[in-house]
Amino acid sequence: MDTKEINLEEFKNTLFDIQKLSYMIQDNKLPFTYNKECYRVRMPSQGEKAEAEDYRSEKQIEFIQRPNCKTKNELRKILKENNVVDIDKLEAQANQIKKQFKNVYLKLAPKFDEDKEGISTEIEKINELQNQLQDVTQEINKHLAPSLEDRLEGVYLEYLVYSCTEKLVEKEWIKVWNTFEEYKKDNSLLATRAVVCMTHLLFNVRQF
Amino acid sequence: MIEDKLRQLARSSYYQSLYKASKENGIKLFENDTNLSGLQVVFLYWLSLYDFLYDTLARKEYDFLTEKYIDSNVRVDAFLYYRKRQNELELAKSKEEQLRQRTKFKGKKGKQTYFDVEFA
Repeated sequence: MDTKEINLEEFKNTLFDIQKLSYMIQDNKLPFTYNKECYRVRMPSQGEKAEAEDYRSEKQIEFIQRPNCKTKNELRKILKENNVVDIDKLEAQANQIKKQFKNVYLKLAPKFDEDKEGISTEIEKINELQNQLQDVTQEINKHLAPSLEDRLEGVYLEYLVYSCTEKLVEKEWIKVWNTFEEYKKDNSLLATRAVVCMTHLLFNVRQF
Repeated sequence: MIEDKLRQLARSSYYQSLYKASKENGIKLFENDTNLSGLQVVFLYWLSLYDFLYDTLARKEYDFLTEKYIDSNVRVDAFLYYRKRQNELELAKSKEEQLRQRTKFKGKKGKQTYFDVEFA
């Protein structure tokens, strides 16, 4: 883990202590600090979402004209044909783990508080299955990350970060980056932190 | 990690009371009424779920369900699946029962006629 990663990990941990979280859910903005200055990401307006979607469509047209651009399905096929990894098998493995989860849940649920040993045995099994599922999911995601779909999702998120990150200057919130180009050139940890915050603010409700 | 903390917050007596007050008296939960963040949507989901769990606990529907039980995320996850499975089994059983109650009648010329009969 390099310093940047350690910093980010620390940042994620401090971001969501219970007190701060209670404050954060009060509105649709997520404040954070960087170099002792106050920043925030906020939920995009309809107009900003539409702009980000336009940008994503623009990038989609650009990406699909590149010879190496592959959709998830195409990438799956290439990975399998070249004996890199069989995503179908990994997905089947993930489904198998989910089935095992359900069986353990059925055993754990009706246990009374007094059955401490029984409860902890089942919880250990769940933790083990959770780790296994996480490994398989990470493996799938890692191999499919270069797909068109994943790249477009990243592009959309970055555009929202550019539009909705603000800095507190003399009691007023002002945009951090004036143009998207300016944002793209920013290699500081501020941009990375803003992405982390935006990801949490949006919380990917689809996966829920 | 963040979801565990959201759940902890959602089941706290402060937020559960606030949630009840918002349902009964329309007290605002958040400063914004529209354009909820994903975080707020997920929080609302857990508020309503814990509200349901505490109601279930008060009604003593399940003898193993306790406050300590509700404090454990993994046991709550297990309970939700257990309950879903129970509901599915009950539904299947009631469909089977309805089929069994489908009464067979013989007509005058030996023709068989079926009627779906619903018993109260």
